[in-house]
Amino acid sequence: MQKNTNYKLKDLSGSEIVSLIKMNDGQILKRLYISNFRKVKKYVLKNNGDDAAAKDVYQEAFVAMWRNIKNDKFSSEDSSSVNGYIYRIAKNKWLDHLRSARYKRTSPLDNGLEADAPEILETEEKNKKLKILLESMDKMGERCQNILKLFYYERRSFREIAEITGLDEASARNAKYRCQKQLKKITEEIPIHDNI
Amino acid sequence: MELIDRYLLDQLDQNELNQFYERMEQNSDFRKLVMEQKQEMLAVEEYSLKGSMDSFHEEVLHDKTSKRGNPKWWAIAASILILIGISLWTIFNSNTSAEKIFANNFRPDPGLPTTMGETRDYEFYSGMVSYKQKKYTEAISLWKPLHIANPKNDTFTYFLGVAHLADGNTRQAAEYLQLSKDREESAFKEETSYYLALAYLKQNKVKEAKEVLKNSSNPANIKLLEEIESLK
Repeated sequence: MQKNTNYKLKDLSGSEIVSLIKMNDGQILKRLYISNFRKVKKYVLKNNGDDAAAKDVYQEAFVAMWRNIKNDKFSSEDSSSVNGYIYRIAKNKWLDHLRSARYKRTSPLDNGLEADAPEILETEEKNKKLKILLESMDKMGERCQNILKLFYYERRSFREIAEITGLDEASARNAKYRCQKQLKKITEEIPIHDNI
Repeated sequence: MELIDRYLLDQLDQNELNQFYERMEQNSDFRKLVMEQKQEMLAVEEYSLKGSMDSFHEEVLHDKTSKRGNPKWWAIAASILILIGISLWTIFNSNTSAEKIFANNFRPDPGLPTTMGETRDYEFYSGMVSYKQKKYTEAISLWKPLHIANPKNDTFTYFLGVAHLADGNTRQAAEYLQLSKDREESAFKEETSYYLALAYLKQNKVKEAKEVLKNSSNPANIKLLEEIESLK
């Protein structure tokens, strides 16, 4: 269950911050988001980017940071390392963007020249699946999006979900189950194609 | 399955967790199901996070506009500093003008001839010798007891004033010279006014300096007065 207490970012240890991020704690995510944007924006603007590009790169980086923490691919000693992490990811993404733009202009044969190592293939599979799932979420009605969000992202109890949605607890439980099923269904209906 | 949900949301206790892991190890279909549901959950979370980021971003913009409000603070601080700077500069400058006149005009009084006369004037002339050697502190220490013993003696008062002025003790110089000036008849009347005016100039007391030179007849005094008048 998500709590809503007022934390001071700098008072938290790295591992506390990581656990809060794993639980999608709204406060922490918001604070991290707000406090790290300016530095990234400055970097992007200095390197041929504009406001829109800065926002895009930043949000991509922010999600990447979150995803890596979720998948235990990052450990942190203190809050500043999470900040540094976000910045590094954003910087790398922007550099990749600049390089690929240049590369596209000079070389017509732009096929991802990656080795077909098994881990990479597996990651690609996962990435594809994730993309499909995200697309399916988009296709769902708002009501289902909301219920799934309340349950999985905000980690609310069925009692809370019932309060928020105006349903009774049993109906809330049912609705979540049905939405979950619907997500699976939509996912199966999306053809597995190569997304660029 | 609800059990899988509870596992994914870290809601299983240690016992349940152990059983869960065992089941995953033994049952590959079950493990597959768990992995699938995990992927779905992560997707829902990521989707929701992406949805919240735009509202975070609104707060960033709001934050930034309030930060952009700060330049006003800077502008105010800067203008205050500029005002202070200007006032200091004008004060400094007006000091310099008066001080310039002092510097241009001040020459220590040449003093009196040091022919040793009567014995009782020994200290005075001894002090005069020191004075002429620019040993002002020495001269002052020799003359001061004389002045204390003979407060009405104009010579002592006057030369103490001039010695102090030469030594850079403007305040004390002004005191002695004023004392000398306040006496009706003095052999050093014009000189007293001259040096007193200079002492006031050094203290930036321009008005007082002018006042002192008001009724002077000595050409040097008149010239000095003219210079002071041109200050404004």
